[in-house]
This record gives sequence, structure tokens and C-alpha cells, in this order.
Amino acid sequence: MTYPVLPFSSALSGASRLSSFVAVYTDAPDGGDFLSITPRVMQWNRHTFILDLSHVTQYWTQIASEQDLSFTEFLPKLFESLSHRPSCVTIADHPWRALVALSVALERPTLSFLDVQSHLGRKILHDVSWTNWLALCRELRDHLLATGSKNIQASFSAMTKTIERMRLSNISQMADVEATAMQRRFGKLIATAWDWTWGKQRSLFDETFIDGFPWQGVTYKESPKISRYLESSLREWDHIAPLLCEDLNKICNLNCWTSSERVVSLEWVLSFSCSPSLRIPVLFRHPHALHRESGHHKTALLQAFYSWQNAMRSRKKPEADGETYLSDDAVTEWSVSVAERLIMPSSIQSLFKDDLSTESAQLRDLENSLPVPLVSYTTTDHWSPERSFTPTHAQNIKDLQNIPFGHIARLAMNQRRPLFMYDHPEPLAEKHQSSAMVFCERLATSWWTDTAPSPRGTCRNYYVRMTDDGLLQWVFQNDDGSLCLHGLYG
Amino acid sequence: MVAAEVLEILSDNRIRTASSNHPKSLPVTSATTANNPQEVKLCFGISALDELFSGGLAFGTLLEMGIPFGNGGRRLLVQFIAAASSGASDGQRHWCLWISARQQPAAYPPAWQALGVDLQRLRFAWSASPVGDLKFALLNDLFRVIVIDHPAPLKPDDHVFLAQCARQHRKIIVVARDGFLDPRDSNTAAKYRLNIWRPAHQNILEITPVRGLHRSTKVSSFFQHPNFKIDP
Repeated sequence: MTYPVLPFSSALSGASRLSSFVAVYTDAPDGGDFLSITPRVMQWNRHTFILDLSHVTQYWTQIASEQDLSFTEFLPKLFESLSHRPSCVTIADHPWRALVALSVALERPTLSFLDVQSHLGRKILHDVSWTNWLALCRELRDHLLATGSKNIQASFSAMTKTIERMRLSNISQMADVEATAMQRRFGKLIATAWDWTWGKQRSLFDETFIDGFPWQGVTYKESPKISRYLESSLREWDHIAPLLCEDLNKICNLNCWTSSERVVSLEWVLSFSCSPSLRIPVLFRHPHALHRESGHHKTALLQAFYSWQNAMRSRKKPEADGETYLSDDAVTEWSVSVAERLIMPSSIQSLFKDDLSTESAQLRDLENSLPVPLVSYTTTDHWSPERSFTPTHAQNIKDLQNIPFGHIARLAMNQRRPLFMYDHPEPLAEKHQSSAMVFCERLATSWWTDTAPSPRGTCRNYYVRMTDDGLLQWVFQNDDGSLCLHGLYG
Repeated sequence: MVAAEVLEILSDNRIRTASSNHPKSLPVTSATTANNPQEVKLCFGISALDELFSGGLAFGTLLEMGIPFGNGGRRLLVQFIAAASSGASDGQRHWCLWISARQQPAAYPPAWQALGVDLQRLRFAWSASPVGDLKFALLNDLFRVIVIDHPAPLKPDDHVFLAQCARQHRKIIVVARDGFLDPRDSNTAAKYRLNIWRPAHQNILEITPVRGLHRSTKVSSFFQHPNFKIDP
């Protein structure tokens, strides 16, 4: 039975960070159209898939903002538009937490979309049964074995006996047990899964996995790829670029993919005459329509150039009189392939507007051409200066701008704050209050949470301070009377 | 050639004259604007500055400013971006780009929003070599107002390139430097050059022209507080 993917508002609100891992339960035999949302998809078991959205978050955030939605609010609509609609979706900051929450959500038919970091999500995690949790641990062990991990210590029988003896039903009943204690009795795998469940980062066995998680991505049936053997070795970009452009044209003409697909990353593997081959990832900030630029491939060549420059810089050989390139380091052959792409069904093709008619599309096109990102910010309703704004692509829920009082109060507060702020306040040598200081505001520092800003203290008294050399500083006085510089008025 | 350029500007429906649409804009009386009624200007929303620039900054202008960092002078630039991005200047919500070569302290967007900046129309970029890294943004028609906040002086060639970008793509490009500008500098690419500074223990900003303008002016500093005690 399929339920509509419509979340409760409490299933999304309260999340402090953006979730980029999605666990999906679907009846679709091949995982549905998930490769149209992200190129990074893993099949966990027959019906469960995990999606890593970290590389496409910025893109989907922009599409969401065009509809006046945040990324998290837009996701349910995106899943709704798929031809095989999933019956249950959970999102989290770690794939394991998304899976754990999914096991609970599946038992509650009305809970079809849940952010694990939301108020409701945090509650739901406490309802996970030991049966479900241990079943997931066994699947984790199988995936680790499949990826070639050895020396996996997990004493499932001891764990089961302990739970039965203590008559425990939910994992929350042991929430205060440290992972080190779990590891001593039940092995490293269970201890690591325990840490992941409660939101602690811990790498398991192999650093190459995503967040220590045994990621095994779904592979494409066929990847567009072209190899080139150079008649004469090349060193300069100006000589390489026309040939690379030819190869990109050939890739566009291959039959194994279509013009509706969007490229997220290319892989360019270079072989050198005197040194090992070099793998250069060419990443696009937004899914790129490679076919649209057939003939010139301006965007792809620009990103390839930036990646080439960075790679060549890292290959410089230090010498006594400075840095020089390896003398005989010339490219003799290469292969270029489409490493990650979005394969779109017709149902969501309308989201990919390539005609550059809208300003948003022009902006995305421009961002794909630049070596540095263009960042936009959005404000939040938090009183703390450090948490009162966030990059738009990391925004979880649209803020409370529709509440007039909250908006007006924030505006009044922010009008007295500086235009430029330090990420980390800098202690000032002077301890005594200067006469040229005017009180601005007093703030509590959310000392009761783990995310309290540094330096620690219960409250801060903010002042505008005018220095003898004319600087207008935004400083605060801590509980101990010490002054810290937090911002400048520009 | 000139006629073609004029036609191109007039056909650009994104641009309207400051005098026709901006309710806050001052009456445009300068000789320059009177002779060129099609000249398109964006105003600061600060009457003293708009008077100084005869109604605002025209599209196609490169402006160089010497503003010691932390003195409060960049607030004028943020107010200019607020007017441009929110549509208060000419009724059009222009895309703006703030390029900074300084990693810390970084922009604090809530304060910018409180000044009227539409954060949806503003993008920030960080680059130590802004002209090289952001070349395609400078050559692109999307961003109409670009501020380069760069502590050190740019190269003369960079100024020439920026002036060309501003002229050919009808942008307003502002280069803000930490140090004061010197009349002996050989930067002739910028149409206007001026210094902004706040005298010690005074709540005013003094604007002193170095090139392109013929008189100084003063604007009140944002920080006006009755309890502010200034050392004698």
C-alpha cells in the first residue's frame, strides 16, 4: 500500500543542520528513478535505497527556492513527481541514522516523510526496537563483508542474550551507555553503529567510505567514455584544450546516453611520459547539459582547466631555487568519461530548464563557469549572531519572515550589528571598559546546548567600541569581564 | 557607433532612468544628465552622495574608493547595494555581486538585510585575485552592480579591464581599497576616485574626491548615539 509523501510540519521543523542522506523504501524493482535525483545511490536491501544528495544539494536548493520552498520542503514534492513513488522517506545527516529512522517510520503508516534531525525525528529515534536495530547491524556486517572489510568483530548472540536478560525493548533504554562499553562487550561494529545512531561521528574500518559508512553505489549500465592516444606528447593547456573539446563532442555522440541526461562530474585520467597517471575529477556545481554545448564545450573546458591547474600545481617538484614542473612530465594519452550523471525520466524533465530564459538558469550557468563559488545567504530566526544566518543551500526550513513581530524585532536588532563579523571572536588585550563604548545588547549564549559558540559563557554584553585610530568595533564582554572582538562596522 | 550604443541602451528594458522612476531620487539637474537624458543612474539613497554624483552612479561607471577598513565607510556601499537590489533606486531589482579578498572578518548578512539589501539578489564571492577568478562574472550581463573589496591596490591592467567591463556590459563596478587613494596614482581608468574616512572621535564621514568630482562632502556616520562618550 502506498501513502502520499506529505510530511507533518513537525517532521521537518527543528533541524539545526541540512540533511543530505535519504533512506527510501520503495516497491519499484530497480530502485525507481532515484538516479534522476542524485548520481549517488546505494541499494541497502531489496526495497531500501540510500541517496547521497551532498553533491546536488546546491542545485536542488535553487530549484526549490524558485518555488519559494526550502530544500527539505521541496524533497517530498520531488519524490512525488517520480513515476514509482516511494512509500516512506527519511532524511538524516548520516546514512545509518536515516536507515534507523526508516525502520520506525515504516511501522507508522502516517509517517511517510521524516527528517531525523527534526523535533519529531529525534523522538522517533528513541522508539527504535532492538529487533530492528540488530537486523540493521547484521545488514551492515554483510555490506562490510561485501566491500572486503576484514576483522569485523560483532557479537550478536551476546547482545541478544543481554537484551533478553534485561528485558529491554527500545534502544533508548540503553541510550546513556558509552560506545566504549559497547565495544568491550559486543565488538567494534556494534559500538560504531551505536555511535552513529546517536549522532556521533565515527569512522568504521575504512576512511574511504562516506562518513565511515560502507557505501556501495549503484553503477550505471554503461558510462560514456573516450580514450585518446596522442601522436606527440603535450604539456600546455592551449594544445590540450582543442583535443579535449573534440573528445567531449565524441562523448556527446555516443549512443549509450541521451541529451536529456545531465553531467554532475567527468573523470579525466591522464598518462604521463615519466610519471604515474593522474586522475582529475571535473566537477560541476550544477548538473550540466553537455549536449547543449556541443561544438565548443565552454563550461566543461573551463572546469577541466581549473581542475588541470590545481592538479599541475600539486605535481610541482620543490627545488632549491623555487618550484618547477617536472621537466619531462608531458601527457601522452588520456581518457575522459562521464563519471556521474542524472538520468531523468520525463516526469521531472520540466525542472531542468536549459534555455537560459530565467535569471536562475543564467546564474546556474555562470556558477558552472567559475573557479570559485558564488554564495548567497539567508537569515534565520535565531538570536545568536553566529546562528542568525546560513548559506542558502544549507537552509533547512524557510525562516519565520512571515511573522511580522519576529521579522521587525530581528531587523531592529540587526540594524545595530556590524556589517562584518569574525567566525571566531578574538580576545582583546584590554580588560577594562573603555570610555568610548556604548552598550548594544545582552545575549544568552545557549550554554545548555552542545552547539554553544566559543568562548563559553552564559551571557555576552555587546558594545560598540571606538578605538583611538578610528575603528568601530563590535565587542562583547564575557562573564569573566574579558573583552572579545566579534565584528567591525566596515 | 555612438547612436548604436544609445539605441542598445534604450532598448534595454531592464534599465530606466533614475529620475523617472525613483521616488526618492533627487531632481536631476546636472549638466551631464541634462545633456544626456538617456544616462541611466542608480542612486545611493543618501542625499549628500546623490547630490555629489548628480543623481547617482551611471551604468558603465568604474568607481574607486579608498576606505580604511573598520571605519564605517563601507556602510555607504552596502546602502548603495540595498537601493540597487531592492528596487528602491530605479524600480528594478538588480543582481549584485560582492567580491572580497578578505577571508576574515566576513560579511554578516543579517546586518546587510537590515539595511535594506535583498539577500536573494546578492551573491558573495571570495578571491585573492578577483579579476582573474571572477572574469566570467564580470563579463556576464547578469550582475549589474559589482563591488570588489580588495585590501591591496589592483594592477593598472586590471583597472583598464574593469573599466571596459563596466562600459561594454553597462555595469557599475566599485573597487573599495583599504588605504587612501593618492592623486599621483596613475589610475585613469576609473571615472571617479574618492576617499572616505571618519575623523577621530567624530560621527561624520568625510568624502574627499581624488578624480572626477570637484567638491568634498560630509555625511553623518551611521552611529549616532546620545550616550556615546567621546574622549576629549
